[in-house]
Amino acid sequence: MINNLGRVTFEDRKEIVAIFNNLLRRQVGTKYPAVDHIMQRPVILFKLIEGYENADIALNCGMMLRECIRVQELAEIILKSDEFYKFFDYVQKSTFDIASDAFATFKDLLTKHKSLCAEFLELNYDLFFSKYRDLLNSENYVTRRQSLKLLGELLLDRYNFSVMTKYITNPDNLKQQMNLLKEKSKNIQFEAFHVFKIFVANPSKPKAISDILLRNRDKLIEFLTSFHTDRTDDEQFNDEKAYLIKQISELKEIKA
Amino acid sequence: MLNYRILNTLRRPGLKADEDQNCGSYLVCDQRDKSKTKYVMKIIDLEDFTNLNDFIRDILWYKQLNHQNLMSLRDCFLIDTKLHLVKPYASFGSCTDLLFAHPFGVREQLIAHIMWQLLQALRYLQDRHVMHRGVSSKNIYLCDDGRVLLDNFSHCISMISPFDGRLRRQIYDYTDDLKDELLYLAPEIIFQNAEGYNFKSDVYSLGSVACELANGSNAYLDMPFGHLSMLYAKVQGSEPILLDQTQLTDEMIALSDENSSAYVEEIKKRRYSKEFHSFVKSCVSTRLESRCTVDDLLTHPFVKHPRKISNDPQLVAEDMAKLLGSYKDKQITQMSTTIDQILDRSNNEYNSINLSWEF
Repeated sequence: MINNLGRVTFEDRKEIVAIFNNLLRRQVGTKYPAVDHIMQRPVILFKLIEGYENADIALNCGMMLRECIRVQELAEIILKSDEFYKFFDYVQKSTFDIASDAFATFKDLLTKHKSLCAEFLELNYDLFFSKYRDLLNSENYVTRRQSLKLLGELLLDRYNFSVMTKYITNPDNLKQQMNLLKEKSKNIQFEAFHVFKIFVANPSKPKAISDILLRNRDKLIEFLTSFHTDRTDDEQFNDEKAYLIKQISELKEIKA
Repeated sequence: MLNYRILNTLRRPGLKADEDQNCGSYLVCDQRDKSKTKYVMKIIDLEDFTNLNDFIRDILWYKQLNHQNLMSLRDCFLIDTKLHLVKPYASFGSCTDLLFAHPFGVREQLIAHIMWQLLQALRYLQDRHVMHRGVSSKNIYLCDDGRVLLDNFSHCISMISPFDGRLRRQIYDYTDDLKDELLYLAPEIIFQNAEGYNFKSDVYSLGSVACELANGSNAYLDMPFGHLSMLYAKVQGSEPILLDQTQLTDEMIALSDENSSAYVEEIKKRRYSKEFHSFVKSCVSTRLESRCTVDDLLTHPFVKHPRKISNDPQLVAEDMAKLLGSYKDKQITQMSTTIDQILDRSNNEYNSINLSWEF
């Protein structure tokens, strides 16, 4: 059915999606026969991922993929395959609808099964974050904004604690976030702030990090003081901002 | 993205210039396309919105639905922070524009035509287990070929549960953004009680649109305490009615002042058909048992007239294209004034041709 998805009509494609999704949920006793079937033939999953390359069937494949990802075993197969890294290209596609659908699937993969995902991120830290860095520098505004937001969510999730500690010790990551803070888009600034705060709040900052912060101390304080002053009703944000300013201004004293 | 050439700026009558600064709409045509078909390009600056998911969900609905009477999305792309949406151009504007040109209401035949096409759209959605939840006059567009398009799928919801994949009979989803459609929402959605709601709530909205088109304004607009009285009225079980000579009470005549006397005179003159009254009644009944389903309404005598032309929605649209074809070439320069004339003509032609079909 999936092989021929491109050949059938618009309405029939949706029927196929419905059949596929229902098959996946079918339960016999304690077993899900369709899930077992796909686990033995992971090619099916890779075919679905490839579907993002065909604009006609991309969204249908996306729906089926997200249904598969609900099952931990199937999500694991995708995460552990090389095909997973195709998503880094798909989410930057120029067609808005496909790119955002691919992003939704990408996000599901990384957030649905937290412990699985934490394990994955730890094992593949270098490859994943070097790719992710490109997403944050993407030409595409929506990709940039969504991936930055997802990064904030991933880092602040306590399952990903060890990934987070690794991430905030890398000065390159800090530099990137500080550049994002200066973006002209208010929303990107705001999301970058939520990542940036983790660097500053880290009680045991490595020297490279505190050096950067120290070098830009006065500029940062000035910048943060005038940063999003119109967000008066967001108490948490203002508290955090005040905390960061305090932290940064106290930096020197530690050194001295 | 450079294939589109901007022809004109579109502005809704009555909207202040500064209101649409960040959501401009332009009339465009595709340079690759030789037919010179016109489209509307809406530009939205995503920077002004904190939540992008609403837009994405909206666009995905467009991509999943494909029907004669549903608005389609031709293209969507991103330039810098601005999202560009290209949709077919409905030259008669929305039903709100229609009412702007006809403050006392539009003709019954035209309403029957609109209702018939909307029922087709709802039928299609219902077959796919989708509730629209946003049927309101501003989301209904009229094309120059007589086609009626239902737009705005941001409130759509699937009756298939996202949790267990089962089809639900009732849903209990009450999101905050539904308040945009408050005037048209069925009482059971407003109640938010344990009984939930289903497709019949779309029928209620449809009925209140029919009523609004006939009366010239929404029954619950301009109530003394704003939304509060509207909510109270709906909770109390009041139903919108068609205002014509049969419904006019002495009290209304007595209460009319200089501003409303012209309207009351208009009401005195007109008389809507029995079928129309019964159609509205079966749509807006507050009790779910007595409210009709979309299927019931498709066989209702009120919409039977256009049904006689053909059972096939495709053919209906083609017939309508023929009926209205004579002024397709007419250039529309000033929207609000010409809409009026053109629609008057469309009604006349519509009537005469319908009569010829009676033989």
